[in-house]
Amino acid sequence: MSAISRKICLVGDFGVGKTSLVRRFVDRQFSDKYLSTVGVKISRKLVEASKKELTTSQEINLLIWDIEGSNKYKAISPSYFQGAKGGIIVADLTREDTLEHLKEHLESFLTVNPQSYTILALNKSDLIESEYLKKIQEIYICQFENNPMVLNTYLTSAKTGINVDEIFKLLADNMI
Amino acid sequence: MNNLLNKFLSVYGTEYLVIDKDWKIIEKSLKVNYFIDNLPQIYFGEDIREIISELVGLENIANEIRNGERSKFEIKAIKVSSDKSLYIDICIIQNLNENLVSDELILLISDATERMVLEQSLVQGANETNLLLKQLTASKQYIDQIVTSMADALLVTTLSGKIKTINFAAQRLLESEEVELVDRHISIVLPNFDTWQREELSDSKNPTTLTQEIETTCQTKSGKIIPVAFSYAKIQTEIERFQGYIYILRDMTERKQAELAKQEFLATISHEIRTPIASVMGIADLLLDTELCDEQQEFVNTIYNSGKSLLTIVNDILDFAKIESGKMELETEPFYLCNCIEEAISLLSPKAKEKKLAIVLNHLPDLPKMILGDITRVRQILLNLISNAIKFSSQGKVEVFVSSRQITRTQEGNELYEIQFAVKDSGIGIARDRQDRLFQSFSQVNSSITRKYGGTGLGLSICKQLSELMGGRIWVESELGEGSTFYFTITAPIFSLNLENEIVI
Repeated sequence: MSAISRKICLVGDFGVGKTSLVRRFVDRQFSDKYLSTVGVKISRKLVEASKKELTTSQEINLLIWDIEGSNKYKAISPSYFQGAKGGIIVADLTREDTLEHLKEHLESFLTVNPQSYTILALNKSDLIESEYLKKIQEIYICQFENNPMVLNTYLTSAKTGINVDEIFKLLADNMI
Repeated sequence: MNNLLNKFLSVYGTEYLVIDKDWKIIEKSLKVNYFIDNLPQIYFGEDIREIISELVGLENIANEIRNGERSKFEIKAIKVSSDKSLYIDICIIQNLNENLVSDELILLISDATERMVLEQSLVQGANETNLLLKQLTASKQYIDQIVTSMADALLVTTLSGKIKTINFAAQRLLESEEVELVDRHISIVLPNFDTWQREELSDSKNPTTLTQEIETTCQTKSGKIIPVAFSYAKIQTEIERFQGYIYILRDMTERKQAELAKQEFLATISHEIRTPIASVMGIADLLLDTELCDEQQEFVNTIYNSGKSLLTIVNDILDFAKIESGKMELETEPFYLCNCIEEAISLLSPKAKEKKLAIVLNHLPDLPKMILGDITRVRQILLNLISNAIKFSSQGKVEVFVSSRQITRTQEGNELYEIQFAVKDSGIGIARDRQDRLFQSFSQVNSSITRKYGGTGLGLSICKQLSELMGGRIWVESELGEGSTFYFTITAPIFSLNLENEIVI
């Protein structure tokens, strides 16, 4: 079976680590230096996806849209979301305002793509003590638990690589 | 597309592609290759989505445009390759023919690089500033919180000692509002801590580390003097106006009171114990003069000796308490140095004889005859060291050495001498790593020593304090199993012969 192409978007505030997550997943690299993304940059990666109930697998050519983050002067243009089959909504665990914006980003993504699955990635988990996570869970994450289009929430770190492959894999499995 | 339009687009840096309903390329402008990296040699009939993957997923949009439901669709600022800085805008419109119907679409591709490079630098700057500002605000909050919630008083001054910041604990301790102290000099608060002292103290190798606690007093607004222990450090930053000193003051009133109470308690208790011991010993002494059988005599002797050891211990504790509280006062009276040493030796020679040990005195001939000092305390140290030497030696001899050297003259013209005493035994010796512990209070070489030889562990600590009070020091040289030599020095002015004669006459 030949590979199918699927578009996924990374959405979130500026500086939460969207580019770093892509870089970790595609190039297996990480840099601490902050370089803001403007516009959009597409990376491609071929992955093997499989549905739970099926034994066969399907090759997917992931087209990963690393979209510029929003800041207080500029929101994300929804035209970038057009045609996406999956979305990763990213926040920075060390910046509370980025966690507050998760809901907004999720809604604007789902407005364009109501049928697309999403995953929440709470990034930079290497920078935060685990004792603070419970509170974050209670305040910001519980509200998404009943949303059928949110597959799961992950604590990720582009620096250590923790849960990075997992989010892309889970999304790919749900896009067949 | 007609030639005129073609030129027109080209002038504005816009290229185009025309695709049919199946996304196959049917026409392209001359320089479109510039924007599309992997355009194959034979591109006619190729699916454009294979070449520009940004178009994947746009099937619905394309249909909307073909049906006239949407006039155009734009994707702006696509970064084309990661190697070079090249951004493009893509705009999809319908390719209408004369009949106003067509399944074809035009992709207008224009260069956005210049705009995006500028935007990148602006966004980078804005976002970085934003992140920095948040970080800065948070860390300022963090530090402020720490400073305010500190239980100890904290003051920050400029290099010259002008107070810049004080925390809440400091306001409480000094009974002052922040505004009353800011811009005043630190000496208002710490009147006894001179600037020269600070200069001297901060001249260490690493001035940023906190100095150890220094005890002094601070003065509150109402004039109350409060004992404090304080430490301070120099704040070194690259920005000069932030340089200065940080002082941390701890209120010692309670601790001082507790110390005082402890000392008074010790002094009282020791005194209260001494009186009954004195009567026990006195009566035992009287009892010894009465007719007793041998067994009774032995019993009474034990009572008497035990009383004597108890008295020694109590005296040690009393001395120790006195030194600790700074109440130990030394006499300054002329005395014969040799007499002092010989007295100490003769007092202990019965004890030495019991263990078949000889005590030998070696002194240099040019020893000063008379010195000014406290004979009791010099003798006390000697007694302590010699009795230790006897205690820990089982054979051989105990040697006492005395030497002296002139160091300077006093203001009255008397010669000032350093006199060094040494007590050498042939005892069990002390391991090198244990030697430092010897002079600490309540500490012996190890606890088994206490069981075997007795003692409170106060003796040497007292000797150390006494010799230091007399301007000298104490130390030990020893090897395990090879005996030990204890040294101590005192500095004392020599008592001149003329004066002595005058007194004699």
